[in-house]
Amino acid sequence: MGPQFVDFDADGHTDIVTATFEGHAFVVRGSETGWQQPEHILDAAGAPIGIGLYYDMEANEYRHVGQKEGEEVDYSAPHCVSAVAFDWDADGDLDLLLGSKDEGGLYLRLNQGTATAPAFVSTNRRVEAGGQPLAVPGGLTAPRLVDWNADGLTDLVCGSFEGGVYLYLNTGAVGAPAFAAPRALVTPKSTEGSASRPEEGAYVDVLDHDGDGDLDLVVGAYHTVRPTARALSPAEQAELATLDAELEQVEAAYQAFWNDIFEKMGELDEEAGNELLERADSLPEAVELEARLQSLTERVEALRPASKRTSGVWLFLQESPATEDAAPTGADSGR
Amino acid sequence: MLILTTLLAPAALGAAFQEPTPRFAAPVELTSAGAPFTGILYPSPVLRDLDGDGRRELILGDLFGALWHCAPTAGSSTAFGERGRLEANGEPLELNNW
Repeated sequence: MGPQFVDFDADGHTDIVTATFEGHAFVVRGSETGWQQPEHILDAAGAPIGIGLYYDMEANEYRHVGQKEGEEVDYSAPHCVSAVAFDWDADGDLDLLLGSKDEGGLYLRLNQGTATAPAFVSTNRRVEAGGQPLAVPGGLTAPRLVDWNADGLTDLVCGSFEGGVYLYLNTGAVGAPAFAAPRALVTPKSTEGSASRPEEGAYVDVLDHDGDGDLDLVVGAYHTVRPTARALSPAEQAELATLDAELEQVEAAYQAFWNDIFEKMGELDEEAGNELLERADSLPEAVELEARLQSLTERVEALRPASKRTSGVWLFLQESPATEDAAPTGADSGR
Repeated sequence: MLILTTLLAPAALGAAFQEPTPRFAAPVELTSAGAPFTGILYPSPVLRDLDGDGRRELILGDLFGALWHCAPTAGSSTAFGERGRLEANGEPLELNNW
């Protein structure tokens, strides 16, 4: 999602601009009484803004319709999962940058209206970096806008679905951004060591969290907890072998149960088939098999802990050059 | 010895830059009510002072389109309180998602 807090409609209240996996850009307007419910951000023609629509909630069906320059419909288009407002052309109103998931691309939607009455064009323009279409390695989660090197130009810091965080410095000018090739601030997933760190699906925020004058990162992501296996006694090893064999049998029986349900559904009309599917979970055979699976899995994992993928949020404090060069406290400098 | 970096820019990507490579300390996991922020699908964080009290709250978007927030814990830069939903007119804010 990557929410951006910004006064989108120039009314003096902070709003939230974002997009979801659905594929559309949203604004949550702030007001004197608090947040309002989300709205699609519309273009000048009244169409919801996105790149490719992944799922149409109103129609309750999947779509993959895109809008690129010169094309009204592109069924192979990437879909939008992030949006940030930014005055790209320095004309005093906010334009939109839309991030696409798998290709890692960023698209510009210009506002030809005003700050208080936006009129977004109906086509997207691909943003470039280093002379090539910007493509965040591993796919773009969401971009952040920040003047990373304090040169008066807004840079991009982008999270990656493969876990990295990338900096794109703006080497252009105010009103005419031009981004350099990416530089990794956080490397993609690494299994080095056992320390907790983000590995996949990195969403980043950038701020001077410790007030030391440089920018730090806050990264929401997934990581995998890899427990260390303990030594098992001979009796436990034998029990584990028995449990593994039993688990395999129960998993096969569970799969066979569902295969049978799907086969029966194929012999029924749609309504009866759906009714069978809805009550299949509560059939005694399903209940018994699921209980056995759960019980066996819990015991197996008690003997052989499994890796678990879980989400978290991490703070990366930037080290100042002075800190990097300082001798560690209590260390023998050799002099 | 300083634990500095799991975070080095690949030379191939850094070729276009003349500025020094930023270096970060080992990441520290943030907590909510004493426990890591587990169980949120694709958490997207923002640290921002929403209520104007001079301290930044942590706001998290998730895959389902919900927005969560938690207040900072006094005296800590990485600990936060219980998380709650951002609301609009008394109802949880929820953006469309599939």
